[in-house]
Amino acid sequence: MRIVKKCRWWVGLAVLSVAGALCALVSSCSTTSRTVMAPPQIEGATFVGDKVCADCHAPISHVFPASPHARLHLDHSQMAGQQGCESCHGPGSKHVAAGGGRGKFIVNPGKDPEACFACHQEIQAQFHLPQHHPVIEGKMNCVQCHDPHGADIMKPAGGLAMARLNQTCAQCHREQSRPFIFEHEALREGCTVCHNPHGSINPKLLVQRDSNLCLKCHAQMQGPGTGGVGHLFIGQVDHTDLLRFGSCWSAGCHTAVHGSNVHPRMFY
Amino acid sequence: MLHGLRTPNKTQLRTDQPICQPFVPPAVGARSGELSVARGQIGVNYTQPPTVPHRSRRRGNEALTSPPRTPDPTTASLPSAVPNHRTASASLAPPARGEGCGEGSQTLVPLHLLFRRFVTCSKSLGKPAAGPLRYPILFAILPACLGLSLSAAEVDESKLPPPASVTIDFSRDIKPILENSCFRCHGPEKPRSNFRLDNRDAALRGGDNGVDILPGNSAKSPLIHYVAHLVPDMEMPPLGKGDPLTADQISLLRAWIDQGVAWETVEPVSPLEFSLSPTLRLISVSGDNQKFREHYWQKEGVNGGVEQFDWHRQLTPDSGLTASGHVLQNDYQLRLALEKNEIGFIRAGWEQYRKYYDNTGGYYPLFTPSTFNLDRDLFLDDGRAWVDFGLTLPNWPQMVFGYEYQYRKGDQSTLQWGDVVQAGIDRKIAPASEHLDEHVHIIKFDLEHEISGVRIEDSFRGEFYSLSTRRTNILFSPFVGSFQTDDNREGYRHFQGANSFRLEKQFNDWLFASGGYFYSQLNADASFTVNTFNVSGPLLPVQRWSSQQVTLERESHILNLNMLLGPWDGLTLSSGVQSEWTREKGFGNDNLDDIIFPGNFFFASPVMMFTDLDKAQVEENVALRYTKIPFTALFAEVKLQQESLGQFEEQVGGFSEFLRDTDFDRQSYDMRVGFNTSPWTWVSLSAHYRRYDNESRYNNTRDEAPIGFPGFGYSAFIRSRSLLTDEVETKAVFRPLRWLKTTLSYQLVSTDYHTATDPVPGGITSGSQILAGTYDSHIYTLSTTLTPWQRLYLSTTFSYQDSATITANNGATAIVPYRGDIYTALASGTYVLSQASDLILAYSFSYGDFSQGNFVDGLPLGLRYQQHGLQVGITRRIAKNFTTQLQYGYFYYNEPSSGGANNYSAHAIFGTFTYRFP
Repeated sequence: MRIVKKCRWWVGLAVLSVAGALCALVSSCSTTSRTVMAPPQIEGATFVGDKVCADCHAPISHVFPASPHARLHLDHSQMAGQQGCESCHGPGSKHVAAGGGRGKFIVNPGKDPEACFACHQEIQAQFHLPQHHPVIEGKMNCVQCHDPHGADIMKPAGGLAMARLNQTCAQCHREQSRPFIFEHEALREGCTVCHNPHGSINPKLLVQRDSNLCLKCHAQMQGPGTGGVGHLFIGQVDHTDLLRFGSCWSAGCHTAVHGSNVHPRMFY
Repeated sequence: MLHGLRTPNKTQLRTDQPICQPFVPPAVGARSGELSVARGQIGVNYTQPPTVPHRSRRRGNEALTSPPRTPDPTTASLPSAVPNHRTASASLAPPARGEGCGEGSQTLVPLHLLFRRFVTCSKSLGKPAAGPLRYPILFAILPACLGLSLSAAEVDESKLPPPASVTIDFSRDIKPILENSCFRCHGPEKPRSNFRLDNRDAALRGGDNGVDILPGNSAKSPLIHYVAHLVPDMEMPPLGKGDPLTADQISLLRAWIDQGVAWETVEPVSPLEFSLSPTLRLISVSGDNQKFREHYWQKEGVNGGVEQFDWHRQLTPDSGLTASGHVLQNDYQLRLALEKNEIGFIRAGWEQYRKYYDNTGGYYPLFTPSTFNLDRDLFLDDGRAWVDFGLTLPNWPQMVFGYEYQYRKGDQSTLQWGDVVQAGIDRKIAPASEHLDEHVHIIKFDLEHEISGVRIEDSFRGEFYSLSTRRTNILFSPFVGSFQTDDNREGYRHFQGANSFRLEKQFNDWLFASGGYFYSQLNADASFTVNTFNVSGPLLPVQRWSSQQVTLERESHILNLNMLLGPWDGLTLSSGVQSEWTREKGFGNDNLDDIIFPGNFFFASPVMMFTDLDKAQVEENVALRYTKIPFTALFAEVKLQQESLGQFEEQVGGFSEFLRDTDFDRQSYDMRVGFNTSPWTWVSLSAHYRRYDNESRYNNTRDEAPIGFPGFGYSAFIRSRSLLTDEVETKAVFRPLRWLKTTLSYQLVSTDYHTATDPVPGGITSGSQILAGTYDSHIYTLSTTLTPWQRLYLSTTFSYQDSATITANNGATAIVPYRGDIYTALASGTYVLSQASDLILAYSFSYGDFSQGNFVDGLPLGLRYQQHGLQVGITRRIAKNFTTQLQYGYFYYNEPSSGGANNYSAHAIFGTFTYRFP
């Protein structure tokens, strides 16, 4: 009985699969002219080549060879759909025939991340972790943070060609990126030292959920005056018992992790 | 639709473009009788005509695309060899489109068109249309244009193919020609020489260079001369911009013009289009419904709304009004746009969505009850409203003026948890929240323009920002032996003005350069209050910290230069340098008063705080790409950074006076080498190796804590930090069959963190360097896309990651490694059941196990969970304009590491009805 209960899930799945396969088999006898297409495919369109795109999108085509995405731009590449503008934006013949225009027969990865996920599957997986920026929900998109055509892909499009420190995150997270009397120097190395911006299993997109997050920078050599093995000093302060309460920031001490106007140790 | 449940678009079969036989005019260099096989055309007596190079306004781009050409001696040395049979009264041929009046202009132009031509010439020289220099330049150009026009040769109409002897059907005969060969440059968007061929009025009106179509007289119509390549330097389509028209196509165009230039004979497109998709949703959750909301960004219960609406009204052929958006529960979007080609646009909108938070705090397995709840909903409404006014006048700077209002308001959970004490054990696991009220008013101005091939961009943002927060925590005071409430309020507001100015130019085929300057200035003031109340007895503040006088300033200057060189024999080099200088100052006049128990001793503690940061940073990057190896790209990149920063901080007064003066400097490099190759049609391989090294040094010239309790003074104790990352990533894409694509990838990331600190008296630390932590991660991803039949699309992705973060804990049992695995599986599919019905399927799964066993000596924060999301549905077109979609979803979450407090399971039914007009 226990085995039956244990296998119930799999049996159900198997039955569903067989039923689905049978339905597909039966329905396949019917004829239909329709084809399923996934982005960046475009109904009825054919490839026209980068030179055609450059006619109207010259500013992009000028700078694109400096983009990290241009690494994949293999002239005469053997695998179809791997090269050039149309590998992300879809075949452009209908867009050209329509005389161009915003969103006219062209894939805009800025509105739908599926074109990006076609290559960045590991990032797609991260967006399906419990905590993530709402990209797959359609409330954000990849190009809000990444310039797919410019020399520096780790910044939004526009402005200078190279990113400023924390520029991408600061455009929304002003509360954390504003100046403080006492800054947390970790921000000089960028937000991604502590956060995984695509997705994480941890709240606030943290890369670690416990004090290891802080100790990887703040651990120090312990001396004989610290009480020996099992004791942990940080700076001049014995943290051995304090760390039992929880993490450095969740235990009520260094709560102002992005900076403080009150205390140099990020209290309050 | 919930996340992870997106399905691909469903479309019809592709259609391929017909292959046409090109027409080669005998007078322009064709060597008839030669047999060539080119561009997939077989058995055609055809050789690419050695056209005189076509010059475009986008010269650099054109040059990149045009192969080297040898001038035909018959035309290059004898321009008059092209006969001109046009009379002065009938010849309306302008110079080449967008070409100005260069040496290639060899047609007679009537005087009333010459003036237009002068203006075009002046613009092509980069001069404004108005201004003190305009007329001298025009008059300087005038003789040249006149001279060229008067010496122009006539067109030999006898070499034109005869008009087709059929009754022309525009949609059948002409429209495909225009779409394939003309719209690329002469469509509604940015038409060259302002000449459009997408509607009859515009086509007959002509462009900057005059009339091109003479109804009833194709032989005299310049358009026919251009497409027949009878006018050197004005061949249409220009070389590299498309295949020449065939003789049959030219014959059809001639017949079309001779028969009166009839346009669209099919029923005109409706000026009004719209679609509306009302939806009804039922979501039932058992378990932690707040966790469900947090994960899926929506609330349970019955709700409905409009999933998507789109409305478009074509006001004129050149202008239209568009509205789109959605209205769902706590998720709204409205976008409006009024646009007119070559005039401008007004775009406005408002959108808001809600982010939900769980409020269960932490979990500690030894405690009963094991979980806590604030017993209220936590969420933030995140929204923005905007209006942009854009000018898109031809040959004028493209400008956008705008205003945007962004806001976030509500209560969010925080990770600053409060005390829970049981059996003498204290753990910080009580949930906490923060009220947030954030408003930003932004004034925007963007400008783009091109002068003499120099592209100019300017972007200004003026930002008024205000922030108000209030956070409450539960604290346990071991001195009082009771719980207290810690109330933290903060206010902040700033104005920041930022301007980014950028220039870029394509100098020639192999040199592109850009440069920019960014400046920003921020002025802020802030306030805070931190009050601790004894909640077990009379309401008595035990800690009263406050300030209404915090001022902050930040000023940045950034200069950026970039260059892109090549390709030279397959080699492309790009480089950039950016220097930044930032100055930041802060001042606080605070009161850090305390009441110390027992005895209620009040300590008034006025303090002043200062900070001054002076930062200079230079960043350089160089990237090389080599593509000479067949089907392969090799690349190498390096980014270098040097930063020096003077940091002064001081607190005067209070229990923790300190002064710090630090000279900080940092050097880092981030290099990457790799390749990408696709040697066969069924495989693509790529790999790269990356190394990132970041070395920071702190020279604490002054580190003083003159008074206060031991350890209370601020200790600038870090001397140096080092971060070294090695990364390897490989990816293989296989497409063994047309309908099967498989991607395998692997990523290894390994980072070592080293820290060196000052020696601390008392044997606390000797001050030497230590390997403070390591991070190692392996990510394996397998993805497959299957389209075995045209009616089935199936995509799956599986990802596995194991990672470990281990830090130097000196054997402290409260800290254990953060180590674990994450599995993620995604699947989506669409099956075309019939001509009217589709089945859709989407499934997502993730599992993570970072569980820790330090619950006796610490707080086990490592997570272990399992999450499933399944959605199946059917879409059916029940009539031409009506589509329905019915979906069922099941969602399951299990988190043993929180004692099951965050578990939930949910069922959802979505019904959506879509109506489209026309």
